Amino acid sequence: MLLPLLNGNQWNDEHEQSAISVAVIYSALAAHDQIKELNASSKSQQLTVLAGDYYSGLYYQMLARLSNVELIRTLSNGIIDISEKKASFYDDVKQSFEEWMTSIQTIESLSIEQYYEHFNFNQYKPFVRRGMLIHRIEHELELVKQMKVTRFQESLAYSEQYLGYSRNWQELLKLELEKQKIIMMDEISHSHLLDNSIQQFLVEMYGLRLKEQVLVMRER
Amino acid sequence: MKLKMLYSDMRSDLDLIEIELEKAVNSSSDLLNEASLHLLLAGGKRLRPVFVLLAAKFGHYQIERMLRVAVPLELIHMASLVHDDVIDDSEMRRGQLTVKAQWNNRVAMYTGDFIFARALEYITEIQKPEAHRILSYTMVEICVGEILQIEDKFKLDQRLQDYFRRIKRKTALLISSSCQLGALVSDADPKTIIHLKRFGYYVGMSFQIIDDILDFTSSDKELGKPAGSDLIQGNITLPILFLKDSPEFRPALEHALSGNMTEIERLELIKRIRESDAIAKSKAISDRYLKKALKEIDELPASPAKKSLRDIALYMGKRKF
Repeated sequence: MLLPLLNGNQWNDEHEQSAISVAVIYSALAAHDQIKELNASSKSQQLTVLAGDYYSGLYYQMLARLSNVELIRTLSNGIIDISEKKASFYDDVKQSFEEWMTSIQTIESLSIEQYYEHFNFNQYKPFVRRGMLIHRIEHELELVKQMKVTRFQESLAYSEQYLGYSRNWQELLKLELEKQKIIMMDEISHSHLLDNSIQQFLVEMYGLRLKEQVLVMRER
Repeated sequence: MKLKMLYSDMRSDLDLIEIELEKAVNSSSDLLNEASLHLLLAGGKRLRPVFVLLAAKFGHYQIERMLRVAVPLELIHMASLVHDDVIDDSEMRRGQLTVKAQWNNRVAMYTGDFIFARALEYITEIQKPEAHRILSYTMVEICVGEILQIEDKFKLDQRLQDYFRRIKRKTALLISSSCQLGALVSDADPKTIIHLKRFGYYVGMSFQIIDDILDFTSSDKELGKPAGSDLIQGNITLPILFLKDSPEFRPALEHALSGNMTEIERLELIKRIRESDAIAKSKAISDRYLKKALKEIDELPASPAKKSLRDIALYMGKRKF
């Protein structure tokens, strides 16, 4: 979210306060993702529900103090979309692998994209959209290693089976990760927007290797 | 008299609110659609929209504009109920399965988040920053109240002051803000806005105390859940605060809070609480708030809405369930 600041764009108090409020939205939604599907009556779970609600109130309050009604509207609209996408994991939705990836991108990056759009930082959107997807796929693959099954994985497997594919969804995720990293690297290396230090930062953050990746890409 | 009869003057506007509420919970997700409608169609008193509309009658009343305030206030209330049912592990609400019982906790989380976001989407049609500052402050305070409620759970030794502070945040603030926002958005004069805000606060306090009394005095059927559920869940309400130091009640209350109470013991304890003076004492405090609410109405400028506010406040103070 701070790419525009790190890349030297003009950054004022409103940018900063609004960025914090978007971060608070992520905290709110992440808190509710931690609630167990069943047996959430422990004190810790109860407080987690309320922490999420508190953060929701807080982001609204922060933007209300800035009198930025338009951004409240935009971000709320995004939360509707995100909640709908999250609910799809529980609704026997059957969709293609690509559609699941789009859903994940929405869940992971929509609020930041909306923030960028609001402040005319549109040029950073592809980086956050792809970067957050890479993070999520890496996280899911890590959970697979730990033998932890998520609703997203179940939904993906269910869709693949329903649509008659015999593909291994874990392999699909690994290939997708590789593909997204290659595209990300390509976008970074061809970007005239990003300062060198930011390019290097992103390369390190996403574990990208410029020359090797380009070679792989050319081979393909 | 039924509450709905008191709303008869506002019937057409309230029908518009119901239509708008249904539209508001419409979602591209079948699951969220069903879960939200499930709650909406279970009904409710729609107190917050009613207070918004009545307060707006003291300004320039335009129903299209007031829908943008009344609908989100009911949605915020609904969203908090969906999440409260997860916190309280409640299976039933208004005689129906809760969202978390019918689906699961996570679905209840997303349903609440969806409804809450929809509420904000609606109210942002109102471009008055002050309205957003009031509502956002209210929402943060409600959460703080709920966090305090969890902290205070199962603690018999708490002060009346703790209880009043809790119910202020839990109930009174949102009703107070409904009145304040209705008046503010309809451009009522500043003094009127303050009196309506205070009216909402007092009536909200009275309402919650009655609600807490009814948890003991109503039947399981009327409540749609077992009588005494508040106590069983560890929520110490006003009647219990009046009984906690009584040697006759203390052991039974501690036993109830231990989670080991049998059904026969529950029925016996409920019977004893009903027969105790704690109910009358709690009622007297509710009445005191009600009187203060009525006094605020006296300060309002002449309007037919004054009678409606009075009737609803009196109804709320005397309701049986």
